[in-house]
Amino acid sequence: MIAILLRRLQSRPSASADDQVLGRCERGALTAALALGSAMNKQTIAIAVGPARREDRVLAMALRGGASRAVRVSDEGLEDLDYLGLAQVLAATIKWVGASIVLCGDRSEEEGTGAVGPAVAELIGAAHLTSIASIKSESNGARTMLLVERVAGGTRERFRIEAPVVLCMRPPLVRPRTGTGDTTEELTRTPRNAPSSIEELDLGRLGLEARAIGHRRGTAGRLRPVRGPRRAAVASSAADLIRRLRADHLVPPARVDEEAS
Amino acid sequence: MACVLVHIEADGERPSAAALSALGDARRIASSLGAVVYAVVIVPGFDQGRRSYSRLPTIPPVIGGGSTPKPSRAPSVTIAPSSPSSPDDTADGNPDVPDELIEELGKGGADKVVLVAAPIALDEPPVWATIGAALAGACEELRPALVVFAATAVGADIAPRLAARLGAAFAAHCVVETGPRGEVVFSRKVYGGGFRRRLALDDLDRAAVVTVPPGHAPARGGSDAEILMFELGAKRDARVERVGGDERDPTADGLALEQARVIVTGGAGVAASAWPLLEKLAAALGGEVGATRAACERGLAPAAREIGLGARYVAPVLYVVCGASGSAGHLGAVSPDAEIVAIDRDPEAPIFRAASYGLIGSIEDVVPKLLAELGAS
Repeated sequence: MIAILLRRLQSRPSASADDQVLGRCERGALTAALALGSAMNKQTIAIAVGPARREDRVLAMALRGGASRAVRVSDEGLEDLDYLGLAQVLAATIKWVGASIVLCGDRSEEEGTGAVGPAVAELIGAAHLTSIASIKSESNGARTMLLVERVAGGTRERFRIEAPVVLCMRPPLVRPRTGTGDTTEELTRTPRNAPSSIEELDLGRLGLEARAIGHRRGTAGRLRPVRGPRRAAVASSAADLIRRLRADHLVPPARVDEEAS
Repeated sequence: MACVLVHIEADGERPSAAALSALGDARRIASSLGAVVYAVVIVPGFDQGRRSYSRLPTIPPVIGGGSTPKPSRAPSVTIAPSSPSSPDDTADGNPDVPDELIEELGKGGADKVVLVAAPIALDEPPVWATIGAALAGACEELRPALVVFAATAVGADIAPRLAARLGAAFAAHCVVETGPRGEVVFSRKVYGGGFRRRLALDDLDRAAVVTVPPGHAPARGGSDAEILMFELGAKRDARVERVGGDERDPTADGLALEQARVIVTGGAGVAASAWPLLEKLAAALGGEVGATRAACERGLAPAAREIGLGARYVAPVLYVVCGASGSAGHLGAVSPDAEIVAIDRDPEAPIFRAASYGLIGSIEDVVPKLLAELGAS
């Protein structure tokens, strides 16, 4: 079983983005998971945590793309959890569905923290790697092995990794548009399986108590709107801009011969 | 005495620039807390046969959380005299760690340099599977109140899992600020700059792990650091095995963006014919050229030059944005410390709400005038 961790993209706290359902990394994870499931002939299950009004669109998208199942965990008090509280819920869900390969986005587009995947790996005792560009399966007797390519720090590294594993996917490399469209969009637009119903779980079914994860509230820090509207100090001309940047030591001072001229 | 631990990435025989920047941040935090800075360097396993252990370390008490330091497991942890006085000392004692590295960490703000043995070959990539257990072991010994990583690919792989192992709070890509009560606050812009997430160290009843973007000036004026050596018997995760050698990533030519002090970034609003002007402006400012995702999709720049969430994070001092709207996905990958200059023909463009300085006009009109002002026309 391959699990895909998904979350609806938010344009601001508690407001889903209108123009985009998934962040780029998660779209990469969804595409890779569906392809891997097909190649390994394994079931794929999409998992999201949050209310139906927010997450069902994401899960329906995964089902349309070919995911075998979709599970949503919703309960009171799940919204304010930090990375580790959310990871506890996801880890319990992964154990509940029995997945040994877990794919997720490298980082969310809203906060870009990139902590949930490695934290889930820690909680389920799995190996993990971040910044993964591609995955291939490799048969090795009864063991599930994957060959993964990691792109980080200017190098392309290859690893063989044994399940259980959590792989955090990079977004696909941006390419000039050729008119053929985005492959992820194509994949998730094309109905492969008849959309089945989304299974709904609460903390009780996962063997979790709200109290047990409640201490992870407030640990993420406080979210405050940036006071504004802030406005740039608009320069009247190119010369004025350079003068201001020089005054603030952001641009080196003019050379003497330059000033003289 | 509280403990702030910094993971040091090496660049050859020296600490990386990102690591020194993180060490500088850690030094400033530790000074405000009255804490001790431990710079942790992961080294391939010690030569046990030549190592003589002199005395057990004095492990400082922790701050926050009220827990007490764990007693060291003698003789797994060793303390050595201050920086070796001769090359022979290093050859005979330290596990192939150059004197210069130790010296530079001392000058960069470390009170103590901790050499932690890990089952990693010199040419292996530092990821959680290879060095995570060793770092976690060092944290168990030292019980830091704060662990600081550079916000690099290494930090991104290791820091969050270490935080989960420690049950710690975690903040990524944050800048260090001082709160109204003088408290240490980790802050970062989120949701494309519309919100700021702030985590105050004083509010926590547990340790914190943070990654900080490179680009800050390293601390200077430190002195010799004491050297500690930990051999904790850490094991690598045998489920992860590197296959073959590393290859240069085709996007590697954009790496210069991560170290650049000045970046000129073009968006979809820049005409293809005007793109060379951005390159000239970047050259005149001694910087690099970046691009938004939309610009890369239009084929104006290679993917290697994309700046944005999921692509490349940057932390320049000056960030000049030309013909870009300033979307969340773009500006979320720019350090909040960067001074943003917006250049756009549309005075209502959202980028002017994120920028400190603005100039209204078309790129073709404005940039040549800027080049002339800079003496580079």
